[in-house]
Amino acid sequence: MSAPEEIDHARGWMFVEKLLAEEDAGRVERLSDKELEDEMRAGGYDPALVPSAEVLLARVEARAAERAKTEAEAQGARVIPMRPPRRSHWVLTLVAAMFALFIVVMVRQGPAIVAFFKHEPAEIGPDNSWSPPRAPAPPTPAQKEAEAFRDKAVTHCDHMQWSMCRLNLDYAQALDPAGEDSPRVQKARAQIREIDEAPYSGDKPPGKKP
Amino acid sequence: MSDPDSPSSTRVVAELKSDKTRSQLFRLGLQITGSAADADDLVADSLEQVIRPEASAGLKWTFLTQLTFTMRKLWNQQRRAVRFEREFADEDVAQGKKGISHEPPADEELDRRRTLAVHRKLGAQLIAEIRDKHPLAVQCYELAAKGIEERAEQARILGATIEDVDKAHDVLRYQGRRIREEWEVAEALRMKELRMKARRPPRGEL
Repeated sequence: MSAPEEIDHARGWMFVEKLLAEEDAGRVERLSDKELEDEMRAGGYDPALVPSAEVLLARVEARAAERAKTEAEAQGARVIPMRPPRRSHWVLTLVAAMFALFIVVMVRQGPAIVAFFKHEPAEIGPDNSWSPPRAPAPPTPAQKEAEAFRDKAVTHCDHMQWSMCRLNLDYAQALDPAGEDSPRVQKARAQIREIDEAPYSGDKPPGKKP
Repeated sequence: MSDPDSPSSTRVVAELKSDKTRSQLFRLGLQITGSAADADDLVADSLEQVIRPEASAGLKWTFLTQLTFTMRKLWNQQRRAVRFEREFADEDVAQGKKGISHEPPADEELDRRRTLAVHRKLGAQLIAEIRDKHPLAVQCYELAAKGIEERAEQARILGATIEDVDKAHDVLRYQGRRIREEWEVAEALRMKELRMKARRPPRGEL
Protein backbone atom coordinates (compact mmCIF):
# COMPACT_ATOMS: atom_id res chain seq x y z
CA MET A 1 0.00 0.00 0.00
CA SER A 2 1.10 3.53 -0.60
CA ALA A 3 2.43 5.82 2.07
CA PRO A 4 -0.23 7.89 3.88
CA GLU A 5 0.95 11.17 2.39
CA GLU A 6 0.30 9.90 -1.14
CA ILE A 7 -3.39 9.15 -0.58
CA ASP A 8 -5.84 11.34 -2.46
CA HIS A 9 -8.09 11.98 0.53
CA ALA A 10 -10.50 14.14 -1.44
CA ARG A 11 -11.34 11.17 -3.64
CA GLY A 12 -11.17 8.74 -0.73
CA TRP A 13 -13.70 10.77 1.22
CA MET A 14 -16.02 10.90 -1.79
CA PHE A 15 -16.02 7.11 -1.66
CA VAL A 16 -17.06 7.26 1.99
CA GLU A 17 -19.83 9.71 1.06
CA LYS A 18 -20.97 7.27 -1.62
CA LEU A 19 -21.05 4.42 0.92
CA LEU A 20 -23.14 6.60 3.24
CA ALA A 21 -25.52 7.54 0.43
CA GLU A 22 -25.86 3.84 -0.42
CA GLU A 23 -26.69 3.05 3.18
CA ASP A 24 -29.29 5.83 3.52
CA ALA A 25 -30.91 4.94 0.21
CA GLY A 26 -30.89 1.23 1.09
CA ARG A 27 -32.59 1.86 4.41
CA VAL A 28 -35.37 3.88 2.80
CA GLU A 29 -35.75 1.30 0.03
CA ARG A 30 -36.35 -1.42 2.61
CA LEU A 31 -39.17 0.47 4.33
CA SER A 32 -42.69 -0.83 3.76
CA ASP A 33 -45.26 1.59 2.33
CA LYS A 34 -46.71 2.19 5.77
CA GLU A 35 -43.35 2.74 7.43
CA LEU A 36 -42.42 5.17 4.67
CA GLU A 37 -45.63 7.15 5.11
CA ASP A 38 -45.22 7.18 8.89
CA GLU A 39 -41.68 8.51 8.63
CA MET A 40 -42.78 11.21 6.22
CA ARG A 41 -45.59 12.32 8.50
CA ALA A 42 -43.21 12.34 11.47
CA GLY A 43 -40.95 14.66 9.46
CA GLY A 44 -43.83 17.02 8.72
CA TYR A 45 -44.47 15.92 5.12
CA ASP A 46 -47.93 14.78 4.14
CA PRO A 47 -47.39 11.76 1.82
CA ALA A 48 -50.49 12.75 -0.15
CA LEU A 49 -48.67 15.92 -1.23
CA VAL A 50 -45.84 14.12 -3.03
CA PRO A 51 -46.02 15.62 -6.54
CA SER A 52 -46.75 13.56 -9.63
CA ALA A 53 -43.99 12.68 -12.10
CA GLU A 54 -45.32 15.32 -14.54
CA VAL A 55 -45.23 18.07 -11.92
CA LEU A 56 -41.72 17.08 -10.86
CA LEU A 57 -40.44 17.02 -14.41
CA ALA A 58 -42.01 20.42 -15.05
CA ARG A 59 -40.13 21.77 -12.02
CA VAL A 60 -36.90 20.25 -13.31
CA GLU A 61 -37.45 21.84 -16.71
CA ALA A 62 -38.14 25.22 -15.14
CA ARG A 63 -34.90 24.98 -13.15
CA ALA A 64 -32.92 24.00 -16.24
CA ALA A 65 -34.34 27.00 -18.11
CA GLU A 66 -33.53 29.29 -15.19
CA ARG A 67 -29.97 28.00 -15.04
CA ALA A 68 -29.50 28.45 -18.79
CA LYS A 69 -30.79 32.01 -18.51
CA THR A 70 -28.47 32.82 -15.59
CA GLU A 71 -25.49 31.42 -17.47
CA ALA A 72 -26.39 33.43 -20.58
CA GLU A 73 -26.77 36.60 -18.50
CA ALA A 74 -23.47 35.99 -16.76
CA GLN A 75 -21.77 35.69 -20.16
CA GLY A 76 -23.53 38.76 -21.51
CA ALA A 77 -22.65 40.77 -18.43
CA ARG A 78 -18.92 40.58 -19.06
CA VAL A 79 -17.24 43.97 -19.09
CA ILE A 80 -16.02 44.94 -22.54
CA PRO A 81 -13.66 47.93 -22.70
CA MET A 82 -15.08 50.78 -24.77
CA ARG A 83 -13.01 51.94 -27.72
CA PRO A 84 -13.40 55.11 -29.75
CA PRO A 85 -14.85 54.42 -33.21
CA ARG A 86 -12.06 53.54 -35.60
CA ARG A 87 -11.39 55.71 -38.61
CA SER A 88 -11.20 53.62 -41.71
CA HIS A 89 -7.68 53.29 -43.00
CA TRP A 90 -9.00 51.11 -45.74
CA VAL A 91 -6.55 52.23 -48.42
CA LEU A 92 -3.61 51.37 -46.23
CA THR A 93 -5.23 48.07 -45.31
CA LEU A 94 -5.86 47.24 -48.97
CA VAL A 95 -2.24 47.95 -49.94
CA ALA A 96 -0.97 45.87 -47.06
CA ALA A 97 -3.30 43.01 -48.02
CA MET A 98 -2.16 43.08 -51.65
CA PHE A 99 1.48 43.12 -50.60
CA ALA A 100 0.88 40.16 -48.32
CA LEU A 101 -0.88 38.31 -51.14
CA PHE A 102 2.06 39.04 -53.49
CA ILE A 103 4.50 37.60 -50.96
CA VAL A 104 2.37 34.48 -50.50
CA VAL A 105 2.07 33.92 -54.26
CA MET A 106 5.81 34.41 -54.72
CA VAL A 107 6.62 31.94 -52.04
CA ARG A 108 4.15 29.32 -53.22
CA GLN A 109 4.39 29.72 -56.98
CA GLY A 110 7.95 31.09 -57.30
CA PRO A 111 9.42 28.43 -59.61
CA ALA A 112 6.45 28.59 -62.00
CA ILE A 113 6.70 32.39 -62.28
CA VAL A 114 10.45 32.26 -62.91
CA ALA A 115 9.91 29.61 -65.57
CA PHE A 116 7.23 31.75 -67.24
CA PHE A 117 9.52 34.79 -67.57
CA LYS A 118 12.48 32.71 -68.74
CA HIS A 119 10.29 30.93 -71.30
CA GLU A 120 11.50 27.61 -69.94
CA PRO A 121 9.21 24.69 -69.25
CA ALA A 122 8.68 24.35 -65.57
CA GLU A 123 9.80 21.15 -63.99
CA ILE A 124 6.83 18.92 -63.50
CA GLY A 125 6.23 18.31 -59.85
CA PRO A 126 3.35 17.41 -57.61
CA ASP A 127 0.38 19.78 -57.61
CA ASN A 128 0.48 22.49 -55.05
CA SER A 129 -2.33 21.98 -52.66
CA TRP A 130 -2.58 25.69 -52.10
CA SER A 131 -5.30 27.02 -49.94
CA PRO A 132 -5.41 30.04 -47.70
CA PRO A 133 -4.36 29.11 -44.17
CA ARG A 134 -7.39 28.79 -41.98
CA ALA A 135 -7.29 29.52 -38.31
CA PRO A 136 -8.86 26.64 -36.40
CA ALA A 137 -12.15 27.49 -34.75
CA PRO A 138 -11.62 28.29 -31.08
CA PRO A 139 -12.76 25.46 -28.82
CA THR A 140 -16.08 25.87 -27.06
CA PRO A 141 -16.19 25.77 -23.24
CA ALA A 142 -17.57 22.22 -23.45
CA GLN A 143 -14.70 21.14 -25.69
CA LYS A 144 -12.17 22.71 -23.32
CA GLU A 145 -13.73 20.90 -20.40
CA ALA A 146 -13.79 17.66 -22.37
CA GLU A 147 -10.09 18.07 -23.19
CA ALA A 148 -9.35 18.51 -19.48
CA PHE A 149 -11.22 15.28 -18.75
CA ARG A 150 -9.26 13.55 -21.53
CA ASP A 151 -5.97 14.77 -20.08
CA LYS A 152 -6.99 13.26 -16.75
CA ALA A 153 -8.15 10.06 -18.45
CA VAL A 154 -4.82 9.61 -20.22
CA THR A 155 -2.96 10.16 -16.95
CA HIS A 156 -5.16 7.58 -15.22
CA CYS A 157 -4.60 5.13 -18.06
CA ASP A 158 -0.86 5.70 -17.78
CA HIS A 159 -1.16 4.81 -14.11
CA MET A 160 -3.31 1.81 -14.94
CA GLN A 161 -6.30 3.26 -13.09
CA TRP A 162 -8.74 1.88 -15.63
CA SER A 163 -12.01 2.77 -13.89
CA MET A 164 -11.02 6.42 -13.57
CA CYS A 165 -9.66 6.44 -17.09
CA ARG A 166 -12.95 5.12 -18.46
CA LEU A 167 -15.00 7.47 -16.27
CA ASN A 168 -13.13 10.56 -17.47
CA LEU A 169 -13.36 9.42 -21.09
CA ASP A 170 -17.12 8.94 -20.70
CA TYR A 171 -17.49 12.39 -19.19
CA ALA A 172 -15.49 13.87 -22.04
CA GLN A 173 -17.54 11.98 -24.60
CA ALA A 174 -20.76 13.33 -23.14
CA LEU A 175 -19.41 16.88 -23.44
CA ASP A 176 -17.72 16.57 -26.82
CA PRO A 177 -18.59 13.44 -28.82
CA ALA A 178 -16.45 14.54 -31.80
CA GLY A 179 -13.27 14.41 -29.70
CA GLU A 180 -13.75 10.67 -29.31
CA ASP A 181 -11.95 10.19 -32.64
CA SER A 182 -8.65 11.66 -31.46
CA PRO A 183 -5.75 9.18 -31.47
CA ARG A 184 -5.05 9.43 -27.76
CA VAL A 185 -8.70 8.66 -26.91
CA GLN A 186 -8.71 5.75 -29.34
CA LYS A 187 -5.52 4.46 -27.74
CA ALA A 188 -6.93 4.78 -24.21
CA ARG A 189 -10.19 3.07 -25.25
CA ALA A 190 -8.21 0.26 -26.82
CA GLN A 191 -6.19 -0.18 -23.62
CA ILE A 192 -9.38 -0.37 -21.56
CA ARG A 193 -10.91 -2.87 -23.98
CA GLU A 194 -7.79 -4.97 -23.75
CA ILE A 195 -7.92 -4.95 -19.94
CA ASP A 196 -11.65 -5.75 -19.95
CA GLU A 197 -11.13 -8.71 -22.20
CA ALA A 198 -8.00 -10.05 -20.52
CA PRO A 199 -8.71 -12.85 -18.03
CA TYR A 200 -7.79 -11.93 -14.48
CA SER A 201 -4.65 -13.71 -13.36
CA GLY A 202 -4.65 -14.59 -9.70
CA ASP A 203 -2.35 -12.45 -7.63
CA LYS A 204 -1.71 -9.70 -10.16
CA PRO A 205 -3.84 -6.56 -10.20
CA PRO A 206 -5.51 -5.77 -13.55
CA GLY A 207 -3.21 -4.05 -15.98
CA LYS A 208 0.00 -5.51 -14.60
CA LYS A 209 1.30 -7.48 -17.51
CA PRO A 210 3.82 -10.22 -16.86
CA MET B 1 -34.64 19.36 -20.54
CA SER B 2 -31.16 19.37 -22.07
CA ASP B 3 -31.37 16.10 -23.96
CA PRO B 4 -34.49 13.98 -23.44
CA ASP B 5 -32.85 10.98 -25.14
CA SER B 6 -29.71 10.86 -23.01
CA PRO B 7 -29.37 7.80 -20.73
CA SER B 8 -29.51 9.99 -17.61
CA SER B 9 -32.71 11.68 -18.78
CA THR B 10 -34.40 8.43 -19.80
CA ARG B 11 -33.57 6.92 -16.42
CA VAL B 12 -34.97 9.85 -14.43
CA VAL B 13 -38.23 9.84 -16.40
CA ALA B 14 -38.64 6.07 -15.96
CA GLU B 15 -37.84 6.10 -12.23
CA LEU B 16 -40.19 8.99 -11.45
CA LYS B 17 -43.15 7.02 -12.78
CA SER B 18 -43.09 4.93 -9.62
CA ASP B 19 -45.13 6.47 -6.77
CA LYS B 20 -42.95 4.71 -4.20
CA THR B 21 -39.70 6.00 -5.68
CA ARG B 22 -41.01 9.57 -5.56
CA SER B 23 -42.05 9.14 -1.93
CA GLN B 24 -38.64 7.65 -1.11
CA LEU B 25 -36.94 10.63 -2.74
CA PHE B 26 -38.92 13.07 -0.61
CA ARG B 27 -38.24 11.01 2.50
CA LEU B 28 -34.50 11.25 1.80
CA GLY B 29 -34.79 14.97 1.05
CA LEU B 30 -36.59 15.39 4.34
CA GLN B 31 -33.85 13.48 6.16
CA ILE B 32 -31.17 15.77 4.72
CA THR B 33 -32.92 19.14 5.06
CA GLY B 34 -35.24 18.60 8.03
CA SER B 35 -37.98 20.66 6.39
CA ALA B 36 -40.75 19.79 3.92
CA ALA B 37 -40.34 22.97 1.86
CA ASP B 38 -36.58 22.56 1.62
CA ALA B 39 -37.02 18.89 0.70
CA ASP B 40 -39.32 19.93 -2.17
CA ASP B 41 -36.71 22.31 -3.55
CA LEU B 42 -33.79 20.00 -2.98
CA VAL B 43 -35.41 17.07 -4.78
CA ALA B 44 -36.18 19.21 -7.85
CA ASP B 45 -32.70 20.79 -7.84
CA SER B 46 -31.03 17.39 -7.57
CA LEU B 47 -33.15 15.89 -10.34
CA GLU B 48 -32.12 18.81 -12.53
CA GLN B 49 -28.49 17.91 -11.87
CA VAL B 50 -28.73 14.17 -12.48
CA ILE B 51 -30.79 14.58 -15.64
CA ARG B 52 -27.89 16.34 -17.38
CA PRO B 53 -25.96 14.16 -19.82
CA GLU B 54 -22.71 14.80 -17.93
CA ALA B 55 -24.20 13.03 -14.88
CA SER B 56 -24.05 9.69 -16.68
CA ALA B 57 -21.21 8.57 -14.38
CA GLY B 58 -23.80 8.05 -11.63
CA LEU B 59 -25.76 5.60 -13.75
CA LYS B 60 -23.82 2.67 -12.33
CA TRP B 61 -25.28 3.40 -8.88
CA THR B 62 -28.88 2.78 -7.92
CA PHE B 63 -31.16 5.73 -8.65
CA LEU B 64 -31.78 6.42 -4.96
CA THR B 65 -28.05 6.24 -4.13
CA GLN B 66 -27.24 8.68 -6.92
CA LEU B 67 -29.97 11.06 -5.78
CA THR B 68 -29.01 10.80 -2.09
CA PHE B 69 -25.38 11.53 -2.94
CA THR B 70 -26.36 14.47 -5.16
CA MET B 71 -28.85 15.86 -2.65
CA ARG B 72 -26.32 15.89 0.17
CA LYS B 73 -23.67 17.49 -2.01
CA LEU B 74 -26.10 20.10 -3.28
CA TRP B 75 -27.49 20.82 0.18
CA ASN B 76 -23.97 21.48 1.50
CA GLN B 77 -23.26 23.75 -1.46
CA GLN B 78 -26.50 25.66 -1.01
CA ARG B 79 -25.89 26.16 2.69
CA ARG B 80 -22.40 27.47 1.97
CA ALA B 81 -23.83 29.82 -0.66
CA VAL B 82 -26.36 31.21 1.82
CA ARG B 83 -23.61 31.79 4.38
CA PHE B 84 -21.47 33.47 1.73
CA GLU B 85 -24.31 35.81 0.82
CA ARG B 86 -25.07 36.60 4.45
CA GLU B 87 -21.46 37.26 5.34
CA PHE B 88 -21.16 39.84 2.57
CA ALA B 89 -24.60 41.38 3.07
CA ASP B 90 -23.88 41.87 6.78
CA GLU B 91 -20.68 43.69 5.98
CA ASP B 92 -22.32 45.94 3.38
CA VAL B 93 -19.68 44.92 0.90
CA ALA B 94 -21.95 43.48 -1.71
CA GLN B 95 -23.92 45.66 -4.07
CA GLY B 96 -27.14 43.75 -3.54
CA LYS B 97 -28.14 40.20 -4.18
CA LYS B 98 -27.92 40.59 -7.93
CA GLY B 99 -24.29 41.54 -7.75
CA ILE B 100 -23.43 38.33 -5.95
CA SER B 101 -25.53 35.94 -7.97
CA HIS B 102 -24.02 37.09 -11.25
CA GLU B 103 -20.61 35.77 -10.30
CA PRO B 104 -21.09 32.01 -10.62
CA PRO B 105 -17.57 31.14 -11.74
CA ALA B 106 -15.85 32.71 -8.72
CA ASP B 107 -18.48 31.36 -6.36
CA GLU B 108 -18.27 27.87 -7.81
CA GLU B 109 -14.50 27.87 -7.75
CA LEU B 110 -14.52 29.01 -4.14
CA ASP B 111 -17.01 26.32 -3.23
CA ARG B 112 -15.00 23.67 -5.05
CA ARG B 113 -11.84 24.60 -3.17
CA ARG B 114 -13.61 24.67 0.17
CA THR B 115 -15.25 21.33 -0.50
CA LEU B 116 -11.95 19.75 -1.51
CA ALA B 117 -10.25 21.11 1.60
CA VAL B 118 -13.00 19.72 3.84
CA HIS B 119 -12.93 16.32 2.12
CA ARG B 120 -9.16 16.07 2.46
CA LYS B 121 -9.38 16.96 6.12
CA LEU B 122 -12.16 14.48 6.90
CA GLY B 123 -10.53 11.69 4.88
CA ALA B 124 -7.17 12.18 6.59
CA GLN B 125 -8.87 12.21 10.00
CA LEU B 126 -10.76 9.00 9.23
CA ILE B 127 -7.64 7.14 8.15
CA ALA B 128 -5.60 8.42 11.08
CA GLU B 129 -8.25 7.15 13.49
CA ILE B 130 -8.76 3.67 12.03
CA ARG B 131 -5.29 2.86 10.67
CA ASP B 132 -4.22 0.68 13.60
CA LYS B 133 -7.50 -1.08 14.29
CA HIS B 134 -8.85 -1.69 10.79
CA PRO B 135 -6.05 -2.23 8.25
CA LEU B 136 -8.36 -3.79 5.64
CA ALA B 137 -10.72 -0.80 5.77
CA VAL B 138 -7.72 1.48 5.24
CA GLN B 139 -6.62 -0.60 2.25
CA CYS B 140 -10.11 -0.42 0.73
CA TYR B 141 -10.12 3.34 1.24
CA GLU B 142 -6.72 3.66 -0.39
CA LEU B 143 -7.88 1.66 -3.41
CA ALA B 144 -10.99 3.83 -3.67
CA ALA B 145 -8.76 6.90 -3.54
CA LYS B 146 -7.04 5.51 -6.63
CA GLY B 147 -10.34 5.01 -8.42
CA ILE B 148 -10.91 1.33 -7.65
CA GLU B 149 -14.29 1.33 -5.93
CA GLU B 150 -16.00 -1.93 -6.86
CA ARG B 151 -16.09 -4.35 -3.94
CA ALA B 152 -15.30 -7.38 -6.09
CA GLU B 153 -12.32 -5.61 -7.63
CA GLN B 154 -11.08 -4.54 -4.19
CA ALA B 155 -11.46 -8.09 -2.88
CA ARG B 156 -9.48 -9.48 -5.80
CA ILE B 157 -6.65 -7.01 -5.44
CA LEU B 158 -6.43 -7.35 -1.67
CA GLY B 159 -6.76 -11.13 -1.73
CA ALA B 160 -9.73 -10.95 0.62
CA THR B 161 -13.25 -12.33 0.41
CA ILE B 162 -16.12 -10.08 -0.62
CA GLU B 163 -17.59 -10.55 2.87
CA ASP B 164 -14.37 -9.18 4.40
CA VAL B 165 -14.49 -6.20 2.05
CA ASP B 166 -18.14 -5.60 2.97
CA LYS B 167 -17.18 -5.58 6.64
CA ALA B 168 -14.38 -3.14 5.89
CA HIS B 169 -16.90 -0.91 4.08
CA ASP B 170 -19.15 -1.11 7.15
CA VAL B 171 -16.27 0.23 9.24
CA LEU B 172 -15.77 3.08 6.76
CA ARG B 173 -19.51 3.84 6.85
CA TYR B 174 -19.76 3.81 10.62
CA GLN B 175 -16.63 5.83 11.30
CA GLY B 176 -17.23 8.10 8.31
CA ARG B 177 -20.74 8.97 9.47
CA ARG B 178 -19.46 9.72 12.97
CA ILE B 179 -16.71 11.99 11.66
CA ARG B 180 -19.08 13.77 9.28
CA GLU B 181 -21.61 14.39 12.04
CA GLU B 182 -18.93 15.72 14.37
CA TRP B 183 -17.70 18.03 11.64
CA GLU B 184 -21.24 19.26 10.88
CA VAL B 185 -21.84 20.15 14.51
CA ALA B 186 -18.49 21.95 14.79
CA GLU B 187 -19.12 23.78 11.51
CA ALA B 188 -22.61 24.89 12.59
CA LEU B 189 -21.16 26.29 15.82
CA ARG B 190 -18.35 28.07 13.98
CA MET B 191 -20.79 29.68 11.53
CA LYS B 192 -23.09 30.70 14.35
CA GLU B 193 -20.20 32.45 16.08
CA LEU B 194 -19.21 34.19 12.86
CA ARG B 195 -22.75 35.47 12.34
CA MET B 196 -22.93 36.71 15.92
CA LYS B 197 -19.67 38.59 15.45
CA ALA B 198 -20.91 40.16 12.22
CA ARG B 199 -24.16 41.35 13.82
CA ARG B 200 -22.74 42.68 17.06
CA PRO B 201 -19.96 45.25 16.64
CA PRO B 202 -17.46 45.46 19.50
CA ARG B 203 -18.21 47.96 22.22
CA GLY B 204 -16.83 51.46 21.81
CA GLU B 205 -17.13 51.47 18.01
CA LEU B 206 -20.62 52.97 17.92
